[in-house]
Amino acid sequence: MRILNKIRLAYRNLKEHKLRSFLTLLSIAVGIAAIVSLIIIGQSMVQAVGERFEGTVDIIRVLPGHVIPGRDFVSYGSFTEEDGEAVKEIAGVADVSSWMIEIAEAGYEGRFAPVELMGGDPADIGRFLGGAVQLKEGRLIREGATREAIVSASTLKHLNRWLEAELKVGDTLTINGVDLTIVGIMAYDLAALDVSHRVLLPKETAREITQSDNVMLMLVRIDDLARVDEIEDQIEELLDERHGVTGLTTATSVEGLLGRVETVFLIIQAFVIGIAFIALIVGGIGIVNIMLISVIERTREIGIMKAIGATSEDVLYLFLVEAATISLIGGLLGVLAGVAISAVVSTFISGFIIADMPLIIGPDVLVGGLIIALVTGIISGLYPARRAAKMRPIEALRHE
Amino acid sequence: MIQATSITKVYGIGTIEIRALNGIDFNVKQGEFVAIQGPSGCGKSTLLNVLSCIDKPTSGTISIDSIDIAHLSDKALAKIRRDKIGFIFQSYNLIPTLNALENVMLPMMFAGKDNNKTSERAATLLEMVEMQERMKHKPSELSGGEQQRVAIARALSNDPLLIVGDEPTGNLDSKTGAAVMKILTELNREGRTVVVVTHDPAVAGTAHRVLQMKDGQFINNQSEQEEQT
Repeated sequence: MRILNKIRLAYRNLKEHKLRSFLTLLSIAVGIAAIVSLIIIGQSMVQAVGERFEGTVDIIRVLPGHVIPGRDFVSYGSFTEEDGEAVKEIAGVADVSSWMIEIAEAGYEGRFAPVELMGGDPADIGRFLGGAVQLKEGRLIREGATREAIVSASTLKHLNRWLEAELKVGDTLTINGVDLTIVGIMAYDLAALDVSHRVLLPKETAREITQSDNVMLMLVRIDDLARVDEIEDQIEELLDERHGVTGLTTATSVEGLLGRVETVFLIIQAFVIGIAFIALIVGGIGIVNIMLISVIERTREIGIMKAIGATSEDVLYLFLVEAATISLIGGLLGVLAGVAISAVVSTFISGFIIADMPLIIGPDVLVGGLIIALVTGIISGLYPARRAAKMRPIEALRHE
Repeated sequence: MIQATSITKVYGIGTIEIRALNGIDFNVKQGEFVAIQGPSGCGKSTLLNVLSCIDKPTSGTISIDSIDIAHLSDKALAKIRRDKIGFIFQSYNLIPTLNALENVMLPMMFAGKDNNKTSERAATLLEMVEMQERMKHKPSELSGGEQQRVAIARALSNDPLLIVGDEPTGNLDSKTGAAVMKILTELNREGRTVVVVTHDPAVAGTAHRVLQMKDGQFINNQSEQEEQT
């Protein structure tokens, strides 16, 4: 029998039991939708996070103190410019950029907001912060300029809330009597550097405002990524020694961080996709169940078909095609729903976690979803179809 | 066309044995029209099922169109049913989800024939049984006589040499029954071999031979009855 005719007959039977068929394919659709959306979102997030750190994978961040990730930072003071020069001598280190980080109050039209000043060489912003600095509006700080600053979009939101203002590029904040013009707005926070609410400004200006010289952050560019762990250890040892402490200096690389982010994503994905597969197994059992009922209901029909010349294979394939048709339609709905869910979730994520996360919808995910659905259907249909095929025509015909 | 020797069919192997067929011999020549009569439970339906390869005999040999079917596989038997035999049931047995045209196409679909040709042939056959107006109707929308005509068209779809009918007029009123018998008679005139089980006395008139069955055996031996015709 030709495949087209099998599909035609299968379709007739599914149409005969519309609600039943729909409910069965729905269970497959739910599983496929979950798998497809999770994979799309996962891939898109990893991609978006990766892009943000692009250009900073070869950077080691060094802090003068001990960091307990996400909980605490115990400082032993600050670095000096000389520390930077010393670190530059370590083999594998290409360049060092030192940054001041100080808390200050930013004023605007009589109101004040707490900010964290991050002062560095304006030329270093592009070179050391790399892809993390993606301008949404405006420009970077000009070389030699002393009254310019850039903030992230979320810092701007924070400022606007405190200052009850509608700050934009070109507006001027006053910090300790120094006027700073906002020249650019970054799309993202400098997430790799843990804290938001940061105002990026030239180091000299930061010194002028805070009257201090304290280097609180060193960004170290290395030229041998393979040795990143080794260089981190050397930096920590050197600075511990220079400051007379042990095991307090913290050097971490974005590469390590990225790896951790990816691992967390993978674990979450594996877990949730595991649940999705359970949903799919449940859907598959639903198909087995419905097909078994269908086979019993249609015993007489099977007998008729065999009596007028259907071979056991004809009957087998008829039921298999029916199961495959249910699951394929379910898969199709699931893939469409999965894409729709990803789109909705991505707008949420774009609003809260990662600004502007483009969805990566590869054909492999879409085709993969359909194939998983189809395979589920065929596996589920196998037992009922074999049962139908094995019926003896004379007994099946007698069935009422 | 049919040579059957010492056919037995025993049901309920175990405590109670029922001999539905008791060493029956049965020969039908090509182009013959044979009617089988007898009280219910005499084994006539069983004989028909065995002859049309729907059921297997317990013992004995049968050849259909010179093919010994005793040792054929299920698949080969299905192909004989499909290509050589057209079976007409008392209760029509159309597939309820398919319309008349598709029901007639079904055996040709099983034979893997070309779709355009099958629908064309199915339409011609339905026209022949005067069902051309109702080709798109489902069985539930057809009367008993109409359903039986569709069933006859279906039986003819793969152009079988042998038409087998198990009480084909049993569920029909006498007028529709007569029309159905007329179609069968015409098919026989075209050269097809027809074997029917029937209670219908009118059929006895049209058949070349009428055989009486009782307790899984012909009442008189077959050769004797043959001589009478």
